[in-house]
Amino acid sequence: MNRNRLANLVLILTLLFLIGPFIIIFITSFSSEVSLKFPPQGFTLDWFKKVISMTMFVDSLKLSLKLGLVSSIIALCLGIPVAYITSRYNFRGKRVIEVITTLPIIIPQMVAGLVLLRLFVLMNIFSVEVTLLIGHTAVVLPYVVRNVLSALINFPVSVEEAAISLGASRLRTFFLIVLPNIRTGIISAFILTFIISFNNVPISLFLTGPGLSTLPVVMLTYLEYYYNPSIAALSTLLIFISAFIVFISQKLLGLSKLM
Amino acid sequence: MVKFLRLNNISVMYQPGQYVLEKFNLCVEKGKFLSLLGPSGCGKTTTLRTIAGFIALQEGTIVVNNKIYNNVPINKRNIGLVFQNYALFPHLNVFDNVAFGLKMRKIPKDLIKEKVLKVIESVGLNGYEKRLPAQLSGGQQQRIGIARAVVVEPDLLLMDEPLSNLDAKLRIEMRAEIRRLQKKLKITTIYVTHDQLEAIALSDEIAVLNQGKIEQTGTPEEIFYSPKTLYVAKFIGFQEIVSGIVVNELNDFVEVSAEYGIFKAKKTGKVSLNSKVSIVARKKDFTLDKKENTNSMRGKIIAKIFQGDVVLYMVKTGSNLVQNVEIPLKLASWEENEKLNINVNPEACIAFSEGGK
Repeated sequence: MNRNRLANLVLILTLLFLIGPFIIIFITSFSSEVSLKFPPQGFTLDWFKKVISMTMFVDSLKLSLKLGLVSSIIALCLGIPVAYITSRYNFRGKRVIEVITTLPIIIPQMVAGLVLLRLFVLMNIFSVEVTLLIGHTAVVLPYVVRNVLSALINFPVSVEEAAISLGASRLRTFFLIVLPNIRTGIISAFILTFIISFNNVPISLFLTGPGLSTLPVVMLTYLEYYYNPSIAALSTLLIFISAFIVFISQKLLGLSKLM
Repeated sequence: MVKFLRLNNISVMYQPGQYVLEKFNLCVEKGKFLSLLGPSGCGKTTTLRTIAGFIALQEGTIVVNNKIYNNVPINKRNIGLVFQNYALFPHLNVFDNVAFGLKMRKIPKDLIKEKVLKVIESVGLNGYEKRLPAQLSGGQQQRIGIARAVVVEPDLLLMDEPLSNLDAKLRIEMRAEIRRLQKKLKITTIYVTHDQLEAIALSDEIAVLNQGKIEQTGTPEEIFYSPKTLYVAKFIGFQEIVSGIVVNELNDFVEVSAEYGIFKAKKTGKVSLNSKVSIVARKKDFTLDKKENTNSMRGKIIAKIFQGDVVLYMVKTGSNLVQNVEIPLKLASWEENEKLNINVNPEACIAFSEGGK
């Protein structure tokens, strides 16, 4: 059928559009030329060796991983109770809480980064690391609230009521009944927030400097001075790290539940 | 006999001045099965949830086994709840679902095992212990729901339309099973339903609710044959046939002057000479005939609906009213558009005063 062929063509173009850049980066990272070019010439693994031997990349990678992990965990600890309370109770000020927890999506992150810099770092209230953590946590919190909220909405209140009527306290009900059943929502929230934090530039840009910087910011700075395939090699590595995280979580959860 | 559950003058309001339950009184004896019957929005689920403790009451007291329950937290009330949507714990298997309440009561492990296996067997699901709720049919899930509620030996078993999500055939099977189990375990049970046949089949006593108040309480026979108000009568399957003025009283009967002549009907409560009344009867108590008897209306058949062993006729009578008439198949020789008389035995007719309750 003609129609089918057209649809297939659109599908292929869409896929190319989505994964094309990755393919180009992937191929370029093995290029033996000194500047970024496509199609590349030659084949070498030198850029990978170079990237993993550069302390500036390794240190910032460590910081980014730590930041992603810790800010995601804090956001979960804050976001899960907020989502639970707003989905299960009606009280005055509920709207305010809902707005505050979604505000970081609306406020431009550049602005937030600048405010954090002025407020905490320049006034010596918190160290750069702590300020980074606060910024990242604020940025990812709305995603936790949203994800967990939708998991909670799909979980009938009557199941909790059943547990309470059988003698469990509200707290025990939460840990024994609610938490295991919104597990998928929590894990998908964690993956999302980790990746968002890991890739974040605007917040980090203001708060980092020489000696203490996140990986995306270091990559950006590096790219301003050197235009060689080492950045492509690094990108390839990052893609594989992200893919590995998603793969592991899907293994743990089952693909269908996450999607 | 001392009443096991007493609701004394309880009132529930969601908003000030807006009563959901108004000065509500209800008593249940130990081991009895009481149904709260009524259409949606009548307050029957609210009553149940108030007893369970999910809804706070503004006035009155709830007394269970001589203990005031008003300020007892839900998880200390020793109740068993059965839900319309089963509300099983999705992540726990059948055994752990049933064992949950016992674990909360810190009962020793081997005793838990013994009790759980026994109750699972009594609902006929032995062998299913390792299954997750999602691997069970609706009927099986509700059996587990019931097992989970009764295994803790609750003072009160509260059931909120437990059979409404099941198909018709299973519903009837489960009715018998619930009744058997309840009698065997002698658990005082409050059962919420909008299905009058379910209430009649299961209960020792029925309370019919209307807008947050009890219209009538009584045994299933009393409710079914002697409704005390027009509301109850309509709810359990009577239909209004005529209205008119009482012109004569004869012992238990009244004669009413109506559109089609004089109608004779059993009288209730406030019916008196010269009062305006509605007369009701059940569709299966009508007969169709060319001849005119006492309590007779002229009408024209507008539809004939085959329903298996009976035929439902819809007959339009003079004043644009349509009466549903159920006739056994053998006698259903009438066809659409035929004009005839609907007759009804005065014994099957009840007169209610109009407007007053």
